[in-house]
Amino acid sequence: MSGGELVLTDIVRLYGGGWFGRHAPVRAVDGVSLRLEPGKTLGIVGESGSGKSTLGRIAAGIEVPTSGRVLLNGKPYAPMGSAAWRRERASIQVIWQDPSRALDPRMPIGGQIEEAMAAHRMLDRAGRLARVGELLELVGLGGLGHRYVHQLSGGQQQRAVIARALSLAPQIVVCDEAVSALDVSVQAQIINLLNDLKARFAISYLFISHDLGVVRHISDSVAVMREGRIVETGDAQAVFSAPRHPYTKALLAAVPAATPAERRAREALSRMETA
Amino acid sequence: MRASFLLSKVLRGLVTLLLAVTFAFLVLRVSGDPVTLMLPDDTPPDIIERYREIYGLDRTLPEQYLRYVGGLLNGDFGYSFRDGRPALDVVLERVPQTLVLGTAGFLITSLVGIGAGIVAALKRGTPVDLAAMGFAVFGHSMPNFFFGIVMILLFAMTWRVLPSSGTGSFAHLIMPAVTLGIGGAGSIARFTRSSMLEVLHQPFMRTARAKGLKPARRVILHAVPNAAIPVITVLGLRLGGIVAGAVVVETVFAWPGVGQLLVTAVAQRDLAVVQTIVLLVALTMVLVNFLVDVVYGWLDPRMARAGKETA
Repeated sequence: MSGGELVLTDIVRLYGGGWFGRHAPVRAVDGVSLRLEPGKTLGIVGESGSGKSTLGRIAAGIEVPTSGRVLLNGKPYAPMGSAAWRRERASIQVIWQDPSRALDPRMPIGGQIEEAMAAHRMLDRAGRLARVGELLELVGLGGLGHRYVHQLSGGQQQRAVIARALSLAPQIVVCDEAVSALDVSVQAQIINLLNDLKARFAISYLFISHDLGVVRHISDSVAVMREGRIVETGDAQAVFSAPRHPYTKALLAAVPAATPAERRAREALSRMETA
Repeated sequence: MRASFLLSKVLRGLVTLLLAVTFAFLVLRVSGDPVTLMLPDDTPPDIIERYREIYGLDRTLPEQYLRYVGGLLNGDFGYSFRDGRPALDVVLERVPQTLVLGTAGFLITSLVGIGAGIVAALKRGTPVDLAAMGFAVFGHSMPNFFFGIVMILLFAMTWRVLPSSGTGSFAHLIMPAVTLGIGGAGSIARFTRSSMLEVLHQPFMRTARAKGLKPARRVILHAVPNAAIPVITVLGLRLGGIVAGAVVVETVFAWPGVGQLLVTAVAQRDLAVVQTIVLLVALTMVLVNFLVDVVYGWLDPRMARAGKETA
């Protein structure tokens, strides 16, 4: 496993428009160009409705953009649904927000992990089962492969989803609000796990979240989205410590202050700015 | 844990049977005197009275009831007023024919209904979906006595390809089974379609696609079993009704089954026979419900676990 490079150029995705174009179509993603470097984490932040999830699905190849190009390691995706497209799924995987619903309630989690590898003809059955055991061990669910989704806690469910995504040895993992459904202490565990795995397998992450604190913690670089466009991008530390675009500043200001002292400092600052 | 689960099921089933028998017993006694119905209008009163004594109808209602239930517990289901044979024999000799017809109809209901529902859900919004749902509404809303008669007119009278009534060969089975099956297939198709659509929109189906599974595997392994749960409930109800459900169809096609027997037995106030049929129907319902519970546990691991924990 080594990180892959993902290049998005001029991505536009329109929704709706009504019959005979009675309504103007919604421009969910409106001319976005991004580059995800091998082995790095690119954070996408923005309020809900800013088009970041649509962008994530397009990047993962499970939705087709209205126009624009997606290149994975220099190659465009095969037509969606084709056999070649299914084979490509191994190199780019997605982790979604609600782990309890991202897994089939009727199949033990070990079976669902094994199934993904079987679909891509990886190893023989004995080898796959051994690999399932290793992966579960890796995400801290050793020996729980026979469990069903409802027999796991939220954090454990998301670990199972991560193990499933990793089973195909992907180069890129798109995390769409991967920790938003979890409570804060579990969020930290999952983020640390994702960071460990990145270092170990050199995976690239496209990390989509509305939670600036989480994005700051995990990302190497950041893109700020608003109404389908990218308003600011750059190195994560730089964007967060010295935001240039007013929207980024507003987003950062909306994050609750961690301490009363910080809150007072912010209030003083905003009084100075308005005065 | 498993044993107590079974025990509670069995006890509940017995209570259901007792209630069904009691209800049938009361309704039949209250709604008319079998003896006056059976004998000619000009029968002298003393002869009527003699017959009432023979059948025990002169005793008080509670006494009749206790004697009847006591008889049941000893395997005595009473005697048919019509030909004096044991009621159980009269009913049981009809059961094989009814089972043949009921099973054939049930297979048509399940296969056509589930198949059409799955295809309609997968091809949602296309002409295929429209055709399948049009068929479902047709099957659901067409009264089966009318559909049966139309079939007889077309296949037996006009084209002369199938026998119009009776039993004896596979050709005899086709029309009644189709008539019986098609109505159920309509509602099963609609159930299956909506249940499938709900499952197809679940995030785990998106996961299955994103991990690169083939469409057939996604549908057969992930969508259908999850969508089956509500459909199984409805199918179970229909399966439980197999013994009694074919009353109209058996009458239209003169199929010598339990349904036809029930019609004549009720008309003639043949108390023991009607009660035996009611008991048989209740028994199949109880058994099928038990079967459905077992299938649930297999289809949905959450339910299996809940059952074990509470039992």
